[in-house]
Amino acid sequence: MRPSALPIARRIPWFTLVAAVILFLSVSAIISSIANNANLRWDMVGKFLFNARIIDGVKVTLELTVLSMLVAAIIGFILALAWQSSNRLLSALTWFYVWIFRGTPLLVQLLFWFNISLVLPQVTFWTPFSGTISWQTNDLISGYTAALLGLIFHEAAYMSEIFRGGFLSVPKGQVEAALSLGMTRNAALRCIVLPQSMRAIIPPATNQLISLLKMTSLVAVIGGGDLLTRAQFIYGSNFAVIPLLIVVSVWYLALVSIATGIQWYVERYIGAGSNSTQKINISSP
Amino acid sequence: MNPDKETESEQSVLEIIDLEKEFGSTRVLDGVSFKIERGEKVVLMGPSGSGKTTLLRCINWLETYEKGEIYLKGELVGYTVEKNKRYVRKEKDIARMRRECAMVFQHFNLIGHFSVLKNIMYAPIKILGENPDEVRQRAIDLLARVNLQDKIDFLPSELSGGQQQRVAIARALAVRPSLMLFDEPTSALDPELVGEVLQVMTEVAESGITMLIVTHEMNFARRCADRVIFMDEGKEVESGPPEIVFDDPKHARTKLFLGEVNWEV
Ligand SMILES: Nc1ncnc2c1ncn2[C@@H]1O[C@H](COP(=O)(O)OP(=O)(O)OP(=O)(O)O)[C@@H](O)[C@H]1O
Ligand SMILES: [Mg+2]
Repeated sequence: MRPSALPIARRIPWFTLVAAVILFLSVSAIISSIANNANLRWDMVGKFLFNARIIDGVKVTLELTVLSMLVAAIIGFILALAWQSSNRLLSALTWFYVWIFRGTPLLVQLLFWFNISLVLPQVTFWTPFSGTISWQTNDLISGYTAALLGLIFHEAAYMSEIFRGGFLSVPKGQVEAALSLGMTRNAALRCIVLPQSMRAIIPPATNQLISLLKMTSLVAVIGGGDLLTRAQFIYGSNFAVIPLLIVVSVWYLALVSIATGIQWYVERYIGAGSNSTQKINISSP
Repeated sequence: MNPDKETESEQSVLEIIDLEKEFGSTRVLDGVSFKIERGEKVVLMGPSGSGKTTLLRCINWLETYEKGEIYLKGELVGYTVEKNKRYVRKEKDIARMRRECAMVFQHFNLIGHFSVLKNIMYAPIKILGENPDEVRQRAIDLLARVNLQDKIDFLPSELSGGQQQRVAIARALAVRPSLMLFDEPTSALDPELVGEVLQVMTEVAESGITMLIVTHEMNFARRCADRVIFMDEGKEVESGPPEIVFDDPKHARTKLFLGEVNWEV
């Protein structure tokens, strides 16, 4: 008989089946030991999951994430523009900015902002009508504002790199065609480069948003008032350390899952990125 | 001292005087001089690396030059002269001068996120500020001329190379340039697509537009060119009507080159 007349049969993947069974059994064993571990105090987890203070913390975490992402995106965009300008001084400045703010740990930066009053005890402004106004830095910089400043400046360095990479992803010929039609550099940037770079910017930018969401927990060291700060505050008095850390983790997992869902939709919308429909096929077809 | 030459009627569309260009220490253009009069079709030939692309890019100020002069309709490309000093023109001024000459690139360079129609209409409407309805009609007519009236709403990525290049030619025509520059418009195409693009270029040539074309398509040059300039190592080696340069080349370098290129199509 000719091969084309034969039905296509699939081999039974014995190895995969056995591996799956072993994996399933060991994972369920681990899960059940976690679930039944009395030290974890699941009742406490349930009690604190929607505690008013925890919910406040979630709000602050979200606020820090969204605010710092927005401002950092704007600063990062301006930095990326400055980087690719023909002005040497401007591009050197952005290089320096990224070098400093990407080259030092966020935790250290947060501590710097929190203690900025040791460097600048007073902030003074000069206004045309009422002369100089000054404030004590300590009154201006709370844990929350220090957290916000630290996150923004750190994040802007990363965002500028993301924008820069996006600009570089647009083929040179696109800009040259626009210029040769008589567009100015700025118009070409606005109408040609920006729209085309979005495909290369959005996937890493949403990734960055997700990692920022978790990085906000670092502000707990300066009492930034976020989810982790509140949880630490609560377990400082009731000593339910592990249950509260589980509460925090559950919230982060939930928020990150939502963000991942949004990322998936956005990437599908722009038709780019790293979603599962575009897995590189390295095995047989 | 005014660098912008007067006398509108006698003015050459393009005049290049002693143009030199270096990339680092390699001299790519080494004293190029020639003129193109209104309505002339000039074909530029030469071996790879002889500086043809660089020359076209200098005319469009996509590449800067420091030595020599390029005049486009009497205006100095890239610089203004004030009080015995030369200044680089302002961005807007450069953009205005670029509108005088339209470039057709080797790799088409259609704007990837614009449809075919938008690629053609964009510059006349957004840059020249012409009436959108008029431009639309002109764009549709141009697409009919390049035989692509049924591809109006396609994206460049949905077209073949030959179709993209024909759209690029329509796009260049849409701004009604004084000079059209072509940089090897068929060399990135599969052989069976070359003919359709040359066909369109022949029709454009017949319509009377001034053209400077880098190409190795001999039969096209023979058919359409008033003059052929043969370049090597950044210098003009030989120039003249195609029948003379092709059939009776004076220089050994030209003979050698003509022996290498293929005569088909
Ligand atoms: N941006 C650049 N930087 C450095 N060198 C360059 C640059 N552009 C071109 N060159 C060099 O200038 C020389 C001339 O290049 P050009 O592209 O003008 O040649 P061409 O005549 O168009 O050749 P081809 O027929 O291969 O297109 C080459 O040696 C090339 O390496
Ligand atoms: Mg070339």
